[in-house]
Amino acid sequence: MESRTIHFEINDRHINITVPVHRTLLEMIREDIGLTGTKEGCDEGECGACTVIMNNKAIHACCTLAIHADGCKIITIEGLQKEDELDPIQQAFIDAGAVQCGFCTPGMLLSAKALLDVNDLPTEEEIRTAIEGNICRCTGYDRIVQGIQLAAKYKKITKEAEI
Amino acid sequence: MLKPFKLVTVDTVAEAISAVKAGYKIIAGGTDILVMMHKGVSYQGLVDISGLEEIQKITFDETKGLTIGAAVTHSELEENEYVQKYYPALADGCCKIGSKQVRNRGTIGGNICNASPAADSAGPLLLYDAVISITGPRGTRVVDVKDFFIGVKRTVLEEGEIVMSIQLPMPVKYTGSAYLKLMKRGALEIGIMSTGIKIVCNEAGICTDARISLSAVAPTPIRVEAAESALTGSAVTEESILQAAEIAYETAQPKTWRNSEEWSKDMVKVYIPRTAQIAIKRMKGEC
Repeated sequence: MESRTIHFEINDRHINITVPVHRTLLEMIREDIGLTGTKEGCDEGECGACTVIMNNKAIHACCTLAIHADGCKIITIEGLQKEDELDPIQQAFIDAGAVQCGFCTPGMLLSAKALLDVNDLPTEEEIRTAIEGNICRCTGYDRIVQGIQLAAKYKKITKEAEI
Repeated sequence: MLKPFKLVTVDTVAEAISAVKAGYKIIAGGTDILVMMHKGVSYQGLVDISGLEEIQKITFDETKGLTIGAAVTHSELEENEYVQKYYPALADGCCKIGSKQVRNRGTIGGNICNASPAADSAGPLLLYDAVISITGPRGTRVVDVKDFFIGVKRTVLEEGEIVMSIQLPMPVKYTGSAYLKLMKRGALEIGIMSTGIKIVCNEAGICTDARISLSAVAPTPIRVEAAESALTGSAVTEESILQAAEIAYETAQPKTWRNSEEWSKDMVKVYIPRTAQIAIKRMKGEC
């Protein structure tokens, strides 16, 4: 079995790891690094439950080889909360009632973060495009869209407080 | 879990060619091949060309037009200012591929080499007379995109050959183009049927050149030259558009289990006029 040694950053943690070349990024994150917040849904790039941010872009961890993380910066759901404080996007999802069963939530939050990191005030259409690859079978999406709109407001307030 | 395979990571085009010649399957973004492998398709080995420097960039020149490296992602294309300004149908197509996550990894080279009859970059490339640069054991050659696809999931690529880049000539002054994809959900979908149109007019408003593409209604993405002729030589009117739509409708031969073939074919007649309207608005600078 062929393996490679790779170096990358995940949630500000440096990782050096030797992985088989056929390991997916999702398997490595969950099973080798032990970060099980990233979910396995369809395993074929349809449902978005495995969404992580790699080099500022939302991607499917199930359809990315682990070795392609070499040299990259990855953010998973565990990287959002800072100490005891939830990320504004997490708080907004709670306040907007955007979570029901919760299985899609980590992926949904990361797609939302990838959007809000480059767009402070997205339109509803931009929000729906950002989460088009994340399937939710509970909420009907409206609460999630409202959650992301609320997150944009919270982030604005946080930003202004910092200034 | 994926079945184990051998992997060759290459830094040079020559290494890539010898690996492909030895039977290794190319992986770039992995959005098609890894899905197939998850479903049980296995390959003896993969060659990872995603790091090849030669295929990473989009370059634009006002005389030469646009050159797209094979490993450029759909996201990079849909966000590129020159694509949006001069080749908007390509942005229309790329922004409807899969989902954000797929577009952030999937590449245009992969999209055309996968050669789906519904490939969303292919219709727009047909509109713009794109030329594909291919390199292989016997050197480099260029192939017109209209000759590139030869069947469902089949291209003219020969043993050991790799797509390096795609060139789109600079459009002339009064050009309008658009691509429209028929979908049920609006995302994460293989198009039911897609239409593309490019209209070129002279100062007097006479259509001097046109391109019409159809996707997912034939074994490959196609151009409908008879419908293009129906638009050329006079001002573009509602009648000439309907005539072109009728010809395109007659040409469409959808073979699919995904939806009613009759519906796919009927929608060609609805979508050609809609696509034409967007193309005309863009030519006039109204959108």
